[in-house]
Formats: sequence, structure tokens, C-alpha cells
Amino acid sequence: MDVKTAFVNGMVEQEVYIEQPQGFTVHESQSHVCKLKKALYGLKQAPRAWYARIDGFLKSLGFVKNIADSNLYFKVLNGFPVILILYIDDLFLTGNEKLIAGCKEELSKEFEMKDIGLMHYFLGLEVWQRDGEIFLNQGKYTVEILKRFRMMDCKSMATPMNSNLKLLYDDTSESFDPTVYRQVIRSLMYLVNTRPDNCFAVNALSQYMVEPRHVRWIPAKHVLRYLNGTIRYGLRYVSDRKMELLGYTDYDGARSAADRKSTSGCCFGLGSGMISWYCRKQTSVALNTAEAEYIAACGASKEAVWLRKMLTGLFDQELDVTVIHCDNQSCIKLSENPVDHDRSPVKSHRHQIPNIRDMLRKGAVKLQYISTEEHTTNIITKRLSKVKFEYFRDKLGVVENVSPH
Amino acid sequence: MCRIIDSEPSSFDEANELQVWKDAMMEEYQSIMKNDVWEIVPRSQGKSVVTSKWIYQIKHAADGNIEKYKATFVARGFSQKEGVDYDETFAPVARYTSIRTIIAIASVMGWKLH
Repeated sequence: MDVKTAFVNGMVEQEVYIEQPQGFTVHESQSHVCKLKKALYGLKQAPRAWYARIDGFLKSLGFVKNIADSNLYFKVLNGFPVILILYIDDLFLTGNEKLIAGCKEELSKEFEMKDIGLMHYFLGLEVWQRDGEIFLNQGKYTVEILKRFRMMDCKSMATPMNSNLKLLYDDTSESFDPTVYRQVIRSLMYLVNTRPDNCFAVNALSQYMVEPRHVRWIPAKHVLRYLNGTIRYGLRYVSDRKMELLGYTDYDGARSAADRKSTSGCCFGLGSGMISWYCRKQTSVALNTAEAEYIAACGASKEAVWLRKMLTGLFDQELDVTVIHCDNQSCIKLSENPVDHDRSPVKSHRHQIPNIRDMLRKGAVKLQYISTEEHTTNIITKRLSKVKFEYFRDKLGVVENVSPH
Repeated sequence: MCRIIDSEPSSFDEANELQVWKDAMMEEYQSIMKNDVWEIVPRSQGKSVVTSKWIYQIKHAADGNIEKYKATFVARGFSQKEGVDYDETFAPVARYTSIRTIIAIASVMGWKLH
């Protein structure tokens, strides 16, 4: 659903004056101005004023704001739940059908709403609701970028990246138009919202936004060529699964020849599909592999704690410990063994990182060994062969939309 | 009148010559009046006044046909000074991770998204 002229619903608390509208001046515009009672588009305080209004209204309906995300609301009535997600003037509801209908009615009484029934589209994400599954993709957007950069008729590729990453460091090759390069990378970044399989390639390429060169434009086009063959791909969430939060953490093995920094990667799944992932270059140079892996695991734990906070608020009960998979035994040992002496491989004080041991003690997260061959984050931290890439892409829950109509 | 107007005017003077845009502005003005957005007061000394502007947009339907001529009256908020004209700002946007989390929960629970 969306709220029509949402900002006009926000009350302005400060004294704000605005020029009378051209063509509709009531008094001489030199001598008279409009004193705002309600917010207008463009006004700095408009979004905040609108949020204050809708937040107050939702609370009056009995909704509770989630502690992890202040745009996520939750309500339980006679044991039945309803969840509301707010994005400026767009919102969606899920949960008990009767409660949803009631909520829609209350909202429509208070604000001028546009209700399109079941959700098909939200913030540029296409939502396909079918029996036993919800499918999420950005097929239309993918076609739009391929058209925009004239890559509709190109030959498709099986993976988003196959060139040696070392090629990207070449600072001697001819320079490339930064505007086009940045436009492509930014479009791809938005697409990663339903396509974690591109996460690694986009992260690698996005490090050269400042000074793109021809050697970097070729792999950028490669990602577009991969997309051309996978337009209908997206995230599939199927029903008959256990509601369990599972994490994976890894690092790339300090492949960045330029500064020897490692890249952390992690992903979290709930039910059948991934809900959170990232690939991020570490901010400091690790002295050894265990340390790099430990920094990555700390980042993953931080994300786990945030996700747990959100889920605890929604279910109103304590969660079981969240298992984060890791393929480095010494990192797991380090996280369990609270030694931090001179010869310990990890000097947590050297890095601005949260202490994973604290989270372990509190029973929030637990590192568990997984063999490298089965480690889902491989696709987020490494360049893979076609066979391996497709295997891990499946594990992410990224599949083709089988019946798009 | 059967000429199709397919360009968006950039100024009031340009828009004010065409009936569709005049109607669009009237519609927006009436909506503002109905919502009781402001009151007209005499200009007072020492108070800053935010400038305003009309924005004209053509809304297209999914099939590409023109659906609506929309005029929006906006405040040119960039002239407002922090601490003087406003204190705090905030945009109510949910994280995409939260959105996917709720969708994953809905799929496991067999809920529909509205």
C-alpha cells in the first residue's frame, strides 16, 4: 500500500514560512507569506514530521516498534500476529489475514491510501507470491540496465567474473570514462539486493570507482553479460522449512596485492533463502590467516547480533544460539580460548573489532566448522569455476523464476 | 484540443500557457487547501522565508500511455539552515535486510504479503 501525499500529513513544529505559490497568490507576495502547519515536499523536516505522525498513529493501533529497525512494526491480537514494514510513504503488511484487513481499514480512515491488494512490487523489487513459495527478483530492472548500457544482444556468460583479479590492479592501462563506469557499478550494487551471486564481482569492481581504467571496464561488462543470461534469476523462499537463522563467514586470503588487506564475506539464511550478505574489505592488515579469519568472524557475529535483535523482538522469545559456519579451525579455537598474550596470533586491540568471545559467552553465537568444499561464502569471497559457482548459487537460494506469468 | 502534450515544462510561465498544466496546478492547490497546510500571514522582519517552486511531471501507465499530468508544489528546502530553520532530520526507510527477513518469515509461515 502507499500513502498519497504522505508528507502533507506531517505536522510542522517549528516556525516555517514559505513563499506563496506562483499563480495562486492570495495577498501581495511581497507583503504576505504562508506559515506552514503541515509539511511540504522538499522541506528539510518533512520526512521526520511524517514519521512522527505515522509512528504515533501505528502505536495508537497497538503496534510495537522493533528495536533493531525502527521502520518495522509488530502487533499481536488474540495470539495472531501482523507485521508492518514502512518505507517513507510505501508500506506492506503480512501475518493474519483478518488483522491485515482491519489494519488496512484503520489506515485508510486516517490517511488517503492506495491499496493494490496483494503485493507484486515493492521498492523496485518484484514479488511473486505462489503456493508454497515467495520469489523475489529484479528482472525488469536487469533488462533496463542491459538496455541502458547496450548489452541486450551480447553473448551470455556462465559466471559474473572470470578474469584474474590481479589484472584489475594495472594502473598503467588507458583510462576509462568514470561517469559510465560509476553508473554501471551503482546499478549493479542495487541489483545485489536480490542477487547475492554478484556480490563478489561488484565488490571487487566497486573499489575502482575513483579511477576506472579500460582493464576494469572489461570485467564490468562481463558482469552484464552474466546478467544477460540470468535475467529471470532471483531469491526463492519456500515454505516447508524450519525457521532457523544460519550464518557463514569467510575471508578471501589477502588477495588484494595492492595493500595486502583481506576481504571479509558473510551471509545469513533464514528458512530456505538468504536474507543478509556482504563482502567488505577489512580496514587493517592482518598478520596471519587466523587473524584475517577472526576479523571476518567478528563482523559476521555483529550482523548476527543485529538479526537476532530483530527476530527476538518479532517473536517475543529468546532465540537458540546462532551457528556461524567457518572453515578455519584455528579461528574457532581462538574464539573459544580467551588468551590474548604476546604470542597469540590475534591482537584484538590492534583492530577496532567487537570481541566475539563476549558474544560467545552470552550464548548469542557459536562458530562451527564446515569443510571448504561445502562453505556457501565461497561464492561471496572468491572467483569460482562454472560448476562450483552454480553449486553455491543454488545454496544461496538464487534460482531461475520458473513461471514468470 | 487534440495536440498531445508530451514534454514537461520547467517553469511556471511555460506551464501556465497550457490548460492541462493549469488544471494540474489547480488540483494540487485544492488538495493543499483541503489539507489545511498553511495560513497566510504578513511577512515579518528577521524571519527567513523558504522559496518555493512548481514541479511538473507526466505520469505514464504501464503501457506507456500518458496517465496523468501532475503538478507538485514544493519547498526549496536547500535554503534552510540547520540549527536555524530546522533541528533534526530523519528518513523513515527500512533496511533491505529487514524486508527480506520479513519475506522469509512470511514464506515459512505461509503468510501473504499485502
